[in-house]
Amino acid sequence: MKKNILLVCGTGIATSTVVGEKIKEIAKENNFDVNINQVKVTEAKSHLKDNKVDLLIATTQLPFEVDVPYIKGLPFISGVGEEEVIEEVKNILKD
Amino acid sequence: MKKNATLLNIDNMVEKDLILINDQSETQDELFKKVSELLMKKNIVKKSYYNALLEREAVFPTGINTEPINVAIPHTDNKHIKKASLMVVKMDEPITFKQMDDQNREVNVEVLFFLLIDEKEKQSKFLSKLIMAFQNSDFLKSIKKSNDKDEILNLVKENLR
Repeated sequence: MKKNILLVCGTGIATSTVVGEKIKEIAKENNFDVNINQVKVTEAKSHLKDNKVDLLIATTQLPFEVDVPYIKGLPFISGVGEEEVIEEVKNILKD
Repeated sequence: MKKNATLLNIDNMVEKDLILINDQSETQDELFKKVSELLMKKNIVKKSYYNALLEREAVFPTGINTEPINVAIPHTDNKHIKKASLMVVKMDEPITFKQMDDQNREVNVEVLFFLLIDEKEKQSKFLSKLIMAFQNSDFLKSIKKSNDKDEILNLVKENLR
């Protein structure tokens, strides 16, 4: 089943774009069917209300609680701890 | 599709004037003011850029723990940008930024990449390359070591092409 991934960053332009490229790669390598959306953190809450989200990845601090699977995405940018978050993403997307 | 045709080339985004070395700004505000003035003079940003940058950094900080040389990627909404560019600043002494995903953590930043993005679609490749480049610590080490703007310019171009 297609998984909906929501990428969140401060402007919805820079770091979420980079995380998006990486998620596309992971999805391709593992044959995951994904639909990726990219929003500013200020738009995230309303997006979550109106859409089904299977995985949320944020590079900024989230100013609210979420009830969907959530991963902190900064390791995709810093490279520090990246292997671990890739595994987390795979685990969430594989079922 | 016109998307590919408009993909940006790093050669058109960075130039010697957009490299600052051994900058001695002591605060973020001082540095942002300096950078904003230069970018205004070069007609790369609108007048609104400085305030937008400050505000954005306060709410959504851009320090990244790339270790051992930490970076920051200050940027703001694309409406303040006139021409897609990249500005690189190497600090003389590390400057304190808050970490992107945790406002309670500070990072001592030595190299800054000011992302001057006008349309995100055009720059996704470039951004990915930049992030990949600073995950490679040799790239940052070489920038840190260099005291020559031309050398840094070439390093940036080579690694982001």
